[in-house]
Amino acid sequence: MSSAQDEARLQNARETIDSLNDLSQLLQTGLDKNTLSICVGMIEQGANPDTLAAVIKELRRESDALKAQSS
Amino acid sequence: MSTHPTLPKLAQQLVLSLIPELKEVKDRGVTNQLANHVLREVRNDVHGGARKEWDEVKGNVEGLSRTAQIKVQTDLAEALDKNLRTLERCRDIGSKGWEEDVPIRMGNLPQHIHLLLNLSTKPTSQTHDFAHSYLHCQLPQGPTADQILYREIMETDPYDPGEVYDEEVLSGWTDSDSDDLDVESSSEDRGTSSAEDEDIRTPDTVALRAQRRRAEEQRKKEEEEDRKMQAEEVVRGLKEGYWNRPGEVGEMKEGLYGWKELTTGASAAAIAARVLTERGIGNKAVKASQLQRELIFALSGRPGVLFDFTSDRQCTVKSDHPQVQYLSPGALEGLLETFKIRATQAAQIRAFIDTKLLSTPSSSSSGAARRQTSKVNRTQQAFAEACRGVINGFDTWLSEQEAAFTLGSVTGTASAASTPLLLNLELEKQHAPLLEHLSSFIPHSRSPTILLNLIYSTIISLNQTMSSHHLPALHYIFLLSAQPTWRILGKWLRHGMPIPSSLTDPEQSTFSTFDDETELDQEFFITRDRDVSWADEDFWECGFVVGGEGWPLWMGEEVGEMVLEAGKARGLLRSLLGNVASVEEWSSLNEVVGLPTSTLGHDNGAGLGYETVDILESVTTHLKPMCQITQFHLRRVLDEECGLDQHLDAIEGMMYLKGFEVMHDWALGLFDKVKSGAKWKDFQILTSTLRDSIEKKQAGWMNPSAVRVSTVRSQTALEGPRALSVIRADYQVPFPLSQLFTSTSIELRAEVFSLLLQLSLGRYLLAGTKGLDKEVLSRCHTREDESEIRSLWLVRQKITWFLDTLYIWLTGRVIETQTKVYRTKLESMTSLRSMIALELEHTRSIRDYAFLNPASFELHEAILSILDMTNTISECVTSFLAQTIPNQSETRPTPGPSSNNITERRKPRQRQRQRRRRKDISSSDEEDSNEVVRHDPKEGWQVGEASISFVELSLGQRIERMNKELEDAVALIKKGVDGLAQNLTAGGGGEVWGMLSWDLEEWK
Repeated sequence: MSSAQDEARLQNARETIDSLNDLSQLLQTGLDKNTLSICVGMIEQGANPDTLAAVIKELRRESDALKAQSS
Repeated sequence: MSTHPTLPKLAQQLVLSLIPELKEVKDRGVTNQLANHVLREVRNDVHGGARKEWDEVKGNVEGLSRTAQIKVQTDLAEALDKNLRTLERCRDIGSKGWEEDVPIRMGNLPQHIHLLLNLSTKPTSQTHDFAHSYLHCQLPQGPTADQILYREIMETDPYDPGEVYDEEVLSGWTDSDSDDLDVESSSEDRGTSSAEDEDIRTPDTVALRAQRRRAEEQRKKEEEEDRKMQAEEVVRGLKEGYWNRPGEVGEMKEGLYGWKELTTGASAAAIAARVLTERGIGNKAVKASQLQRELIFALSGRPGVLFDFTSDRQCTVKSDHPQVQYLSPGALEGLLETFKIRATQAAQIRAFIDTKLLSTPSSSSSGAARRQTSKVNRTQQAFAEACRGVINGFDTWLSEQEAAFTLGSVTGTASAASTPLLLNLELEKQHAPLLEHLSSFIPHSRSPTILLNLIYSTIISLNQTMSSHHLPALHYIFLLSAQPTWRILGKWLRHGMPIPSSLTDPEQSTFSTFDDETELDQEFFITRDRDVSWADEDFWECGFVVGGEGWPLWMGEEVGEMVLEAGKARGLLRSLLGNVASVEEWSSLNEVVGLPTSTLGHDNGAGLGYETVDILESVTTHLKPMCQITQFHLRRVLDEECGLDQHLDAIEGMMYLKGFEVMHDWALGLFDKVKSGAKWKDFQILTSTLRDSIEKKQAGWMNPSAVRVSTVRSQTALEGPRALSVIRADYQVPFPLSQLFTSTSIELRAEVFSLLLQLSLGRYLLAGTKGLDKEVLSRCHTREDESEIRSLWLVRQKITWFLDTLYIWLTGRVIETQTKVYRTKLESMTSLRSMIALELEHTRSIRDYAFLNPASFELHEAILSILDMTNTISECVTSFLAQTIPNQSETRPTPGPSSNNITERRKPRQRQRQRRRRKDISSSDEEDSNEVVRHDPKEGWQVGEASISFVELSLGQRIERMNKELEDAVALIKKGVDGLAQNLTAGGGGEVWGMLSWDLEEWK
């Protein structure tokens, strides 16, 4: 019984993450599913979404800078 | 114990995920540095803020959805809404259970969404594509969380009663549960529960049963509501029948709509009914599909709720017609007006077909009475038949459109009748031009020639504009409509013009007192002019003529004239030879034009690549040889059977004095009588003497039985050569040559004949005086007398020279040459009409050269005055001989070659005048006249009484005056001839006149 309930909860969690992924694409956030999962994990551990969003944007700028250097 | 990654590790994963290039770098320093930075930022939470609640992020997402709707990004808006509902459902489910070990807790869901909202950017095309697929794609089917839970519950056998409790439990399981259930169970179950039920009832089963009962009742209530609404809808439909109320203008919902809703959800008719109240727009409206059917019905000639038809088949829009949902009144009016025109055209064509095909056509031999009563001709019926073919095609198209509209298209493409504009477009493309053409033809269908001309002109204009789509149909209409005319034409060419039986059967003519000539068909473009009879000389030209509408355009004027003459020739041949062999089999017009009979190209695309035909060229090629053969046949009959050349020889032999021996012999007798004053004007004597001369000279070729000589009455009594101006020769030309040598042409020749006789008489008189020269000289007693006589001889010589010159020119250079040219031309001709024209042209030309044209009246009078002088000279010589005594006794010879009697002295002129006043001046040919023509240089030549002074003058004075007048007359003639000679235009005869002018240059 408990395993079934756990499985239902996990299924609900997967469905939630899938929906968040869909929302991510509808909002054109640029996050793939892996990155989104990491973000979800960080927020679950107490990260502030505003801070996390600022960090992500900063890392993207870093990525662009690295790409520009390599090219 | 949690198995989730720690925050540092997640920070490192985030760095590597966002900057994948670092994965390839071996030195982890940068990665760690960035991960530490991330970790530090997250932990320090410098951007910190309050935790977001569900309603807050939900409102944000809904705001985005509304924004997408405003931007007409319907899919995106709906996708956001759908996603929000999914998340809300997940949240609801997740929040009911323990969330210790799940990777995502629903309490944090607003934070996750908030993160995504922070990172959101403007939607791109990929976003819309994803939204569309998100909305419409089938999600992978798997058990939902509820299904899994339900399955687990069912596996545990939830209906097993388990342990039996000793004490009865009558109400709730716990306090908390019993609060709600008590109220419901006490109110809902109380009446239905029995004591037995109560025995097995547990708190769980009671609650479940109550819940199920409530759900069931709710469902039944909803179903009942639905049935009630449906029933009301049915009742309303039955009550209001066909009509559907346009509905009220609904209140605008809060916010804005997508285009789809704006364009399909609003009733334009209802808006108009609300807004344009002053225009009296009714509250009835039909659906768009009903409009389509009304349009199709109107085109097929059936009235409906929108259109009506008057008695004269005019389509009208009903004044109280209903509106159409989703169409504004203005748009509807425009559509109805457009279709009204085409519906009227189609209806009038149908009415024409019904009228004409049910009537009896007029017969070819019908009389005037029937002509008035019968208003339908066969061409109209043929045209109506062609119209029926076109309308059948149109009706088939309409029914196909209706079927495709109603049943759906097999090919899957939209039916042309699915929308008003598409129907109109297809109608204009497929059938409207033909309907328009037929409608324009119908008012002119009463006249076959005009109708066929119109159809032919339309074909030609379409050919020139390269619009070949409807050409096959128009060719079909033309060929079918032209069939009656073509049959009549065939009858005309094969049997010829109608001829009375008196011509085909001479015996019947004796007993026939009425005109039994068959009437021509009224529809034929050739008509009979009843004012012209077969005996008239212009029968060939005017008996049968083209009708008032002229020649058919599809035949052309040239071929039309040939057809007209070929029919006349065929009829004439029938009258001459009886039943002549008919022309070959008469082909149908379809075969001639080279089109199949069943060419009805009103099908779609039938005109594409259609090879058009030249109707005029085909008809011309077919008819020309047929007409030429008939004309050639007639010419051969005229030559061989009717003796054209022989009659022409006889005519010219008499009229132009070509039968010299015969005419000289006859003329001498006549001249003697004229000179002697004997009676000569009796036409029987004139004719019989001529016939005697012909027989005496054995000139049977002059056809003595046909010649006639007569005189016409003159207002003045004339003498000398001028007296012969009343004489007229005639030649009785038998039929049908009488159509060629008409009385007009014979009359023209007779005028020339008179002048030739006058010239001959003048020369004869002068020659007669020459025989008296010796005697006259012998009677000259004085030198003065001799001088006067010699002066007279000089004048006589001049007149003789002039008359000889004129006579030789007229007979040798004019008549002989012109006749030769005429004969050559005549020989090459086959058309009798052309021959008649040539004959008249030839005879008029000779008449003009003989100074008999009214324009050369002065010259003619001058010649006559010179001829008068011949008579004067003859009189002078006679008088001189009578007044003088011969020197020696000798018998005075007669003054003329054939004169054997003594010439008596003429009566004194004064007495003659007195006598003339007592008598009718034209009653007797013995009457003499002293009226002569005098030339006034200013007033020209005038006929008047001879001046007494001239008669009373002495011989010398008379000679002198005569010499002067001779000079004046010749000068006038020379001047006139010079003027005519300068006319070198074609047909002006300048060269011929030039020869006379050159001859007269010798005048001294």
